[in-house]
Amino acid sequence: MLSVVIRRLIVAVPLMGVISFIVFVLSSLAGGSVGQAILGPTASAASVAALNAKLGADRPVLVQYVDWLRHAITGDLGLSVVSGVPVADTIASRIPVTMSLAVGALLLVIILGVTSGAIAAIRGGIIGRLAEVLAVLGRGLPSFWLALIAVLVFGVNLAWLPVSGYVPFADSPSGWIQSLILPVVVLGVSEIALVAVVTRAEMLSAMRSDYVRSLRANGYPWKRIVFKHVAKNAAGPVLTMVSLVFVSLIGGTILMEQIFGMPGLGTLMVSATTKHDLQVIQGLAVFYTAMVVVVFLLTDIASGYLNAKARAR
Amino acid sequence: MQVLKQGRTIGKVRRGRRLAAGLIAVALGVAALTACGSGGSSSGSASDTLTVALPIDSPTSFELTQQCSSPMFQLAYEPLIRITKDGGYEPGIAASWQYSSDKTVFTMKIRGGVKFADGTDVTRDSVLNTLNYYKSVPGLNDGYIKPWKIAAVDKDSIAITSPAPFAGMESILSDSGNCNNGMIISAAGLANPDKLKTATFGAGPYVYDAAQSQNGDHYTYTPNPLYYDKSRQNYKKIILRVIADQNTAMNALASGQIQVNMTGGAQLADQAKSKGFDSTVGRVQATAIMLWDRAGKLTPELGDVRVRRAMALALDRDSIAKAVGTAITTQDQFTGAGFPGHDDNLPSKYTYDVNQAKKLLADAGYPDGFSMTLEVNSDDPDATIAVNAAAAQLGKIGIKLDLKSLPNSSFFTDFAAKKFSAGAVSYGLYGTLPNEAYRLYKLPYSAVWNPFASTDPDLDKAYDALNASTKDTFEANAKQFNDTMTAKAWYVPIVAVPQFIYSKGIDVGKRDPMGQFAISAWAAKK
Repeated sequence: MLSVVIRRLIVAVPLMGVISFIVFVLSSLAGGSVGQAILGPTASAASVAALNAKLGADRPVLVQYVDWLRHAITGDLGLSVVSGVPVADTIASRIPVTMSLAVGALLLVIILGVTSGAIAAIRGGIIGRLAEVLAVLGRGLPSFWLALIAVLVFGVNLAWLPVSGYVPFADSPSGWIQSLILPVVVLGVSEIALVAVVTRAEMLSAMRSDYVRSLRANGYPWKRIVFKHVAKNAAGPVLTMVSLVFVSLIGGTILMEQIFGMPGLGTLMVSATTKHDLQVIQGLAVFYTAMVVVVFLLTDIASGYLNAKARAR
Repeated sequence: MQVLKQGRTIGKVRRGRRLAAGLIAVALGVAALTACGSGGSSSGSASDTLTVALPIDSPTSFELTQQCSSPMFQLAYEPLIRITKDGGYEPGIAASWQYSSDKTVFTMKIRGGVKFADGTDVTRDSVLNTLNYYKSVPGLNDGYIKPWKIAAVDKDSIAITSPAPFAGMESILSDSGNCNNGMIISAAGLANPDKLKTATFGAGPYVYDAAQSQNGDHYTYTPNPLYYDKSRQNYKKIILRVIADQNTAMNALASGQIQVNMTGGAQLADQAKSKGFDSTVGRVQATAIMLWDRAGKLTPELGDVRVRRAMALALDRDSIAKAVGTAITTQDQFTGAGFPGHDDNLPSKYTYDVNQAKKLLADAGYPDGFSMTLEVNSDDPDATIAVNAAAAQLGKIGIKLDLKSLPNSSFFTDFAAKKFSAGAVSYGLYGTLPNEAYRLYKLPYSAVWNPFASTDPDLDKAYDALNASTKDTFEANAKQFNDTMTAKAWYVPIVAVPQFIYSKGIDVGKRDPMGQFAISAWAAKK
C-alpha cells in the first residue's frame, strides 16, 4: 500500500508541473494582456504597454513561466498582479467556501445516495423503482434552473434562507449552515441519484453472487450477510464513484458560487480569468490539481483497506 | 405466535416513534436555523448599514490610476471636485476653481482644515504631489494628464496648464467616471505606491476596513471621524458586495440582503418594476457598428461616405431595439437623446430608408453590394444581438457581413492592430463638455476608437468651434458637431442601452454627466 502512495506522489509532482505549464500557455494564447485587462478597453496602447512593462507581462511567455515556477517550487505563488494580494493568501481565504460546499454536498450525496441505493437493492419493488425514477429526475434537472427555483421559493418568497452570500463558521455557526443549505442541496441533488444507482447495482450484483447464496443456504442471518459481506463488496466501486463525484462537485461549485454569490475558488477563477491575472490562475490550477491527486490517493488507500486485491497492487 | 405478532407490532410502533422523533428534531433544527430569517449572510441588514451590490468587473485593487470610478474609491478618497446628489459638481478639496479665458489654464484654491484619515493635513503640496504621481504612472487618463503642467500659484492654489483648450476639468478632477485623477492621496500612500493597491490613503467620508472585508467579494467601510462634512456620513457601515450574477443581485434586493443593486441588467427593468423597486438610469451605452477604415485601406468600399451612409440608412432600429430588450431605445444620430448636441430634427440623421440606401450604394458604384468582415465583441451581449439583427437588414441592400466573434480580451487588441475595418461594440455616452461627449473623435480616446487615425477637415472645424464655445454658444456648436459627425457616418449607432441601478428605500439621487452617483450622499428615503 505504501508503494501505491509513493507512486501516486511521485506522479503528482510532474503532473502539477505539466498542468501549470499548459494553463500558463493557454492563458497566454487567449489574447489580450494583463495591462489591457486592468486598464480596460478604452486605454491607449501606450498606457497598456507601459503597464505591461511595469508588471513584467511584456516578457516572453516561457520566461514568465520559468520565473513563476522558480518561485512556486519554494512555495511562493507570488502576488496577484491585479490586486497586489499574495496568491496563496487569496486562495487560502477562499478554500473554506468551496470546501464547505463540496464536502457538504458530498455528505448529502453519501448519506442519501448510498442509503436510498441500498434500500432499493434490499427492498426492491416500488422503492427500488422509485429510486430509479428519482435518479433519472435528479440527473435530468439542470442545476442552474434548480438553483434559481430554490432561491425564489426558499429565499425570496418564503424568506427561510439567504439568497446569496457566505457566512464563515467562526462568525456564526447557524449563519454558516443557513448560507450553505440551498447551494449544497442543489449541488448534490443530481449526484445523489448517480450514487444511488451505482450502489443499488453493485449491491444487487453482490446479492446475486454464489457466495451470498451459499451463506443463505447455510442459514446465516440475512442482515448479517447484507451488512458484513454484500455491503463490503459493493463498497469498492461505490467508493470509486464517490471520489469521482467529489471531483465533479468541486467543478460544480463554480456555478453554485456564481448563482449564490459566494466568494469561493470558482468565483476567484472566473474573476482572475476575466482580468487576465495569470498568477492567480496558475495558483488555482496547481491547487485544483493537488486536490484531485489527494482525493484519488485517499480513494486508493480506502480501496486498499476494503479490498485485499487492491492492497496487493 | 400471538406474542410474536405483538412483538412485531410493538417494534413497528417504536420504529414509527423514532422516525417521528427524528422528523420533529429535523423540523426543529430547520426552524431554529431559519428563525433568524435570511439575515445570516455577509450583508448587513440593520438600518444603519447600507449594503450595495457591485458587478463582477469591479476593481479588485485600490490602485486609483488603473480603474475607472467605483464606490470603492468614492467612499475612501476625497476628490478635488465632488459630484452632487443631483448630478452636478461642487467643491471638494478644491474650495473653488476657474478657467482662464482661453481654457488652457485651470486654477484651484485648496480648502483648508481638511485631514486625511491618517490624521495628516491635506495641503496644497498633497494635491501637487498626487497629481504629479498620476502623471508619472501608467493610467487610464494618460491622454489627458500627461501633457499637463502643474504648478503652485501661491500657498493654497495650484494651476494646471493644458497644451490646448480643455473644458472638461471638472469631470477629470472629480470622483466621477473619469477615472479618479481628482482623488488626493496622503504622503504615506505616495511614499509606498505598492500599498496603494491593497489599502486606502484618502481623506474621504469613510475608511476602508480590511479586517471586515474580503478582496473580490465584499468591502466594508466605516465613517472617517476626521471627515469635514458629516452630511456625507449617513451610515455606520457601508458594505460593497460583489455579486457576479445580476439575477442573484436582484433576489438579494428582494430579500433585503442589499438595498442598492448596481450590477446593471436592463433586461431586469420589468422585474424591478413589478417588485416595486426604484429604477434609476445611470450610464447609458450606445451600441454601434464602428466603421474604422474610413480611408478604405482594408475595405475599399468604406472609403466612400455614400456607402457608410447607406449602411446607416438601411437599419430598422425600432425592430432591432425590440430584439435587444426592454428599455432599449433607438439611436439614429451620433449623439444620444438627452445628451449635448442631440437634435430630433437633425437633417443628416439616419432615418430608415432602404430605397435611399440602395440608391447611395448604386451611386457609389456598388449596386450589387459587397462583402466585409466585421468584428463583434462576444462579451457584449447587447452589441451581439444588435449586430446580428443589423447584419440581416444590411443583407437586404446587398451588404454581406461576415461576423467574427471575439472575446473582450482580444476584441480590443485586434482592432487596435487594424486587423478589422469595422466592429460592433457598446460604448458609454457622456454628457460633459467636449472632450467626453465627443471623445470618439479626438484624443485620447480616439486613439482607441479611431485605430486608423482618421481625420477630417469638417470635423476639425466643428470640433474646434465646440471647444471654443461659451456657455451661450455651446449647445448650437454641439448640434453642429453632431450634424457633421452624423453626416460623415464614421459610426453607425443602432440603439441606446441604459444601465439601471435598482434600489429599495434609498434615495440615490441623479446620475452625474458621466453616469455616476454621489454614493456617500445616499440616505434612507424620508
